[in-house]
Amino acid sequence: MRIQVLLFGPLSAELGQSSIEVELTGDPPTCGDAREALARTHPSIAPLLPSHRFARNQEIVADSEPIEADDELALIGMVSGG
Amino acid sequence: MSDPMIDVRILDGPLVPTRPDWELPGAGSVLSFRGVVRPLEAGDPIAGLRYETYDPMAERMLRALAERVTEAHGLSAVRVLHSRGFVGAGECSFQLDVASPHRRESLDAMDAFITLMKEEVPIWKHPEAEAPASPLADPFEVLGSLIHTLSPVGTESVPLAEATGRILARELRADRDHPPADVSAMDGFALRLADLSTDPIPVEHEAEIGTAIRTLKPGRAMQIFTGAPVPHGADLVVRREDVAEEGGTIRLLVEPSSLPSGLFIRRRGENIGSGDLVLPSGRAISPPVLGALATFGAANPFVRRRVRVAVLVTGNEIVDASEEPGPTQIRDSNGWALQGLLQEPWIQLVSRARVPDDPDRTRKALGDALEGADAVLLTGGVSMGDHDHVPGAIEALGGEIRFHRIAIKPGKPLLGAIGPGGELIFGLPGNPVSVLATARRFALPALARLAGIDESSHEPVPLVLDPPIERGHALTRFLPVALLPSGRGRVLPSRGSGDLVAAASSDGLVEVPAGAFGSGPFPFYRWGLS
Repeated sequence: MRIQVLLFGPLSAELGQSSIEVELTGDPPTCGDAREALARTHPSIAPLLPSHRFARNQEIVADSEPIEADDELALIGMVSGG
Repeated sequence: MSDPMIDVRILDGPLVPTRPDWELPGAGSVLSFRGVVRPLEAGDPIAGLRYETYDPMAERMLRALAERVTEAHGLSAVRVLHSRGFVGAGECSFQLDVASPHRRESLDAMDAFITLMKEEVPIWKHPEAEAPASPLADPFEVLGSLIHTLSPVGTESVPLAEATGRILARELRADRDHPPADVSAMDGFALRLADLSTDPIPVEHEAEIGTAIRTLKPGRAMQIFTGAPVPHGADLVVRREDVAEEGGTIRLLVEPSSLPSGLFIRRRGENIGSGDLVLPSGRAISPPVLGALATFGAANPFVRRRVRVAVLVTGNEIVDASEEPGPTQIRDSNGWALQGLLQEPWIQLVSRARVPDDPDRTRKALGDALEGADAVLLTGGVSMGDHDHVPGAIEALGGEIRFHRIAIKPGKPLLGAIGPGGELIFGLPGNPVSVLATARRFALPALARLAGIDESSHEPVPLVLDPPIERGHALTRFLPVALLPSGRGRVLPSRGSGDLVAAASSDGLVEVPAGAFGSGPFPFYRWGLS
């Protein structure tokens, strides 16, 4: 399954893009799988990933959360509002 | 205690600091915090910060946080405003207002809220060395400069019977004095001053309307009616009710010394003298103007020919109002709303067509619409979507886009252009309320310029709003308003730019400048120009 992950803040600044696509194999794949895949395919952001959590359909979820094909997935971390 | 009030919003651009309009009799403490962008970031000067938000999650989490803090600290009210996009150094990007019965709760709550927000809410700030070039043009500057490149259309002579509502192309001057002679303002008797002490005074003749002016003999009175020419020799008119008529004579019932010379006589040329200006050009011919034209013999006045306007509605989803739309189709409301708005006596709608979202067909349809038109109004196809082909079509035909995207709401994607033959082109955004607002506020004044209408004759009237508008907005807003019997206006609740239902109950729009709120007065634009 290919899925888009939305990026913000330092992550999108580091990669110069606001989303990246990852290929997931689990059945169903989980957010944890996505995290591992991202660290593998984009090593430059690997050090930043532990401080980020996944939002699935705009809700913060644990890495054990399964992912479905039409989910909106985003990485949230190191926020800086105010 | 009643339920706490919680108000949370993310707004585009810098915040205009406002006070929450709370009435909280039990609140002993009301705190307001404003976050202001610092001019230095890590020691380096910056122009400002760009705030990135994950929508709508960011606003939802701010709200959840506000609810949590309210619950935890027993607040009476919370208001949270946060910026999105660029905020310059020194400008406000965040405002938090809290109210509570005592100071301790609100002081603690404020600190807790800000700390948690910076940990949890998906908002990021990016320092920017340069302020971004404003992506949105000042709406009235661009309209003004577009309008000033337009010249009025040609003139023609029309009979008075067809002149109502047309635009006078030449000034009207009096071809004779008005009134053309001294005339009586009352029904009564014309007299000489020297004869006022005569008693009784014999009556001889009647001053007739429309014939040669008679002469009043000394020692006589002449009967006269309103509008009849005053006879030569007469000094004044005495009203019929101020005399007693007895067998061909009259006796005065009023003191002669109270009757001055000139009484009840309207003098020749009193209204206007021959050759004087009655009306400047550029006026619409209203019923009184029609009367004035007739008075001074302008039986076939020179007027501007009608401005020829074509309407082109774009979109795959549009079917005619008489058709049954499919599940994802809608009926063509924009074409009809525009046709209604263009129902002015000085406008001639020369064509109205629909075209699907296709670059070639849009270009062809625009080319056809420009044939024989002074102006083309398009709806839809001007946003930033992949199916928005209007800007490309204008440029492919050799037109020049003068502005695209302006700082208004609704109607931000508005486009103004000049066609290859000097035609005026507006690309109106496709939402029904956006179409009406931009057509009324931008297209109609530009068409009025083409029609040669004097700008001062169609300025908006100031309207006081009741109730007042609660808060400002970063963009100039157009809000549908119903006029109240009190002479004030009520803003109609609207669910956004697609809500034609609210607009349908309105008499017009108020224009609320960026940042403004309160009761105004604000400029009011009735749906029709006249």
